[in-house]
Amino acid sequence: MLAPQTAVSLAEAQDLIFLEAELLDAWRLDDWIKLYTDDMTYLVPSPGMPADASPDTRLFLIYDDRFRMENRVKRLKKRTAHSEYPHSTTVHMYGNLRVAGHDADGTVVHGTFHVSRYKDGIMDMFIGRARYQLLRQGDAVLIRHKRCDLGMDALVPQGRLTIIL
Amino acid sequence: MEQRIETPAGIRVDQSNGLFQVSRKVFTDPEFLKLEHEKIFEKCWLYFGHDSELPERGSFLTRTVAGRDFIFSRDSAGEVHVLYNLCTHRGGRVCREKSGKASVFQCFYHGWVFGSDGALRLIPQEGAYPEGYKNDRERGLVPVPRLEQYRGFWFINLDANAISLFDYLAGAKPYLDNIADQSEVGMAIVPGAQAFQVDANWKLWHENGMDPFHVNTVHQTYFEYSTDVAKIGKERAQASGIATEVFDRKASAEEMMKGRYAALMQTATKMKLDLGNGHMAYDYPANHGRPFAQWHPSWDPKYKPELDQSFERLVARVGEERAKRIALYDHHVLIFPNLAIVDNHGIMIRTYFSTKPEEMLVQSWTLAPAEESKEIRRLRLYSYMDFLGPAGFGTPDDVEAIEAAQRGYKGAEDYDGWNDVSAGMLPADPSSFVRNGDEGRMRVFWSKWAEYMHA
Repeated sequence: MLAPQTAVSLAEAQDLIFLEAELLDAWRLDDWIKLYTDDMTYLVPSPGMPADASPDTRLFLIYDDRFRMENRVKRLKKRTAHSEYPHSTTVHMYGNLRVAGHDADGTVVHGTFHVSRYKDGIMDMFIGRARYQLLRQGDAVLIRHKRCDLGMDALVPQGRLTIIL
Repeated sequence: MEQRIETPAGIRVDQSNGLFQVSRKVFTDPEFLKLEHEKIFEKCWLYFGHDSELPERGSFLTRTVAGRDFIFSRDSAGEVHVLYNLCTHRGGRVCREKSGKASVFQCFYHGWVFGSDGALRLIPQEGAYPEGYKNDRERGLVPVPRLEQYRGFWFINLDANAISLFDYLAGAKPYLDNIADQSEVGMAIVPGAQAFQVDANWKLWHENGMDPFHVNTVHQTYFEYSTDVAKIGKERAQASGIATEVFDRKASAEEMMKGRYAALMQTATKMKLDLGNGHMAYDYPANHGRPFAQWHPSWDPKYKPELDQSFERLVARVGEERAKRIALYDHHVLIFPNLAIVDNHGIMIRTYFSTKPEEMLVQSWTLAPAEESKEIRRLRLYSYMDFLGPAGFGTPDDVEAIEAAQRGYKGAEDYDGWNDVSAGMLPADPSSFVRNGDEGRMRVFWSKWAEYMHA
C-alpha cells in the first residue's frame, strides 16, 4: 500500500485526466507528454480482446513506451503524417472516473472514454474502457500507465487509430 | 497507326507507346463490382484462415470471407470444415461467437443442433418429420464448395470445379514455404486479429501492396523514425562492442531503396516476380531487424545471441543460401485476388473485400514461429507496430492515400478518367529500373483481372 500522503485523490486524478483531454484536443502534444512519467506505457489492445490481454503475447494496436510515444508525437507534428494532416478535430470525453485502488506502483483509476474525431466530412467515434495508473512525483501527479480497451470488435468504420485516445 | 486495345473490362494497353491504363470506373461503378464478385471472387481460391487458429478438436471461429459468414471448425475427428453460418431450417445464425470450443452448435431461432462437422444432430420437434429426416446429408450445415490447404494456409473456393489450390498457387508456393519454414514445429497466428474498414475499393489496397513509388512519399515519417532509431541503436551497439559496419550501407532510406532495387534486378532473373495466375512478389535485403532471424542495431544487443542462434539453426536445416533468403530479406507476396502476405517487421497476413465499390473490409493477422522465446515474441509484437496495423507509423498513411484517391474518382466519368500504371513498360533508360523501380507487378495483377472479367 502507498502511504496515505502519496496516494492520489479522485479530485487530483480528475484534474489530471481532464487536463490531458484538453491538451489532446488542442493538439498540444509536447505539453501533453509532460503529463507522463519516464517509465510510462500507453496501450491500446486490438479490438475484441479480453481485459487482461498482455501486449507481450497478443497483437495490440498500440504498445508505446516513452521512446515510441515521443516519436509518435514527433510524427504527428509533421505535415508528412498524412493521415493527420491537416489535424483532425477531436473531443475527448473521459467519464465515470473512480479510484479503484492504490498499490506500491501508484493509484489505479478506472473510467470510460468516448472520443470523437472529425476529418474530411467524416465523424468517427472511439468508445471503451480506460484504465490509468497515476503516480505522485515530487509536487506533481503524473500518468504512469494508460490503457484504453476499445468497446468495438473491429475498427469499422473508423479504419485507423491515428489520434491518441 | 495507333495500336490501342480498349477492353470492356476497364484496362487499356498500348504496347508500342508504352501505355497501360486502368479506367477509374473500375473503382466506382457497381456494375464492375458485381462482375468481380461473380467472375473473380466466385471463381478464385480465397484465403480463409490458418491451421493454427483451430488448435484442438472442437475449436471453432466465425469469419466473414467474400461477404459470406462462415464457421471454421475442427471436428471431433480432427478434420477441418468451413460451413455457411446459417441454419438449414429457416436460416437463423447458428454460431454467434467469435471463437471458442464446442462439440455442437445450436441455432437460437428454433433450436436445431449441428455437430462440429456440420451434420444435423437434433431437431426439437423430431416427431413432426418423417423417419430418418435429420440424417439426410442435405439437412446438415452447408459446407463451402471447396476447402484446401497449403502448408497450414486454408483457402476456400466457391466454384466446385476450380483447379486444385496447389496448381492455383503456382509460383507463390515457394514464398509460402519461406514463411512456413521459419518454424521447426509450426507457425501460429498470434491472438489479436485486426479488422478495419477502408473507404476505398479493394483493388486500391492490393495495388498499394505492390507499388514501389508510394513508399518514399507516403512513408517519409516512418523512414525518418527508423533512421533515428538506427542511429541511437548503432551507438548502443558499439558501446556493447558489436561491429555495426555491416549495417551502415543500409542505414538511410535512400540507401535502402537502392539496395531494394539492386536486389530486384538480381532476383528478377533468379526468381520470377510474376509468379503465375496473377500472383506476384518482391524481396529485398532488410534494413531493419527481422524477428526471424536477423538482429539489427536498432534492437537492443541483448536479443542478438538468440537471433544469431536461430539463424544458425536455420542454416543447418535449409542450407545457407535459402537461410539467407528467408532471414535476411523482406518478402511481399500478393496472391490473386485479395491476399497479401508481408514478411518484414513481423509477418502480416491481410485480405480485403468490397461489398460497395467505395469501401472495403480489411482483415489482418500476424503469424509467428510457435516455439519462439517470450523475449523474441515480445520484441516481434513491439516492432510489428512500428509500421504495421491501423495505429502504426505506416499503414494509416496508406489508408489515407487510397481513400483520398477514391474520393478523387468521384466525377471521373465527366472527363473519362484513367489511372496510369505504365512505368517500366517502355523505359527510355532501362537502368532507371534500379533507381526507380517500375509498375510491372501492378500490370501482372491488372492483366489477370481483365482476363477473369472477360471470361
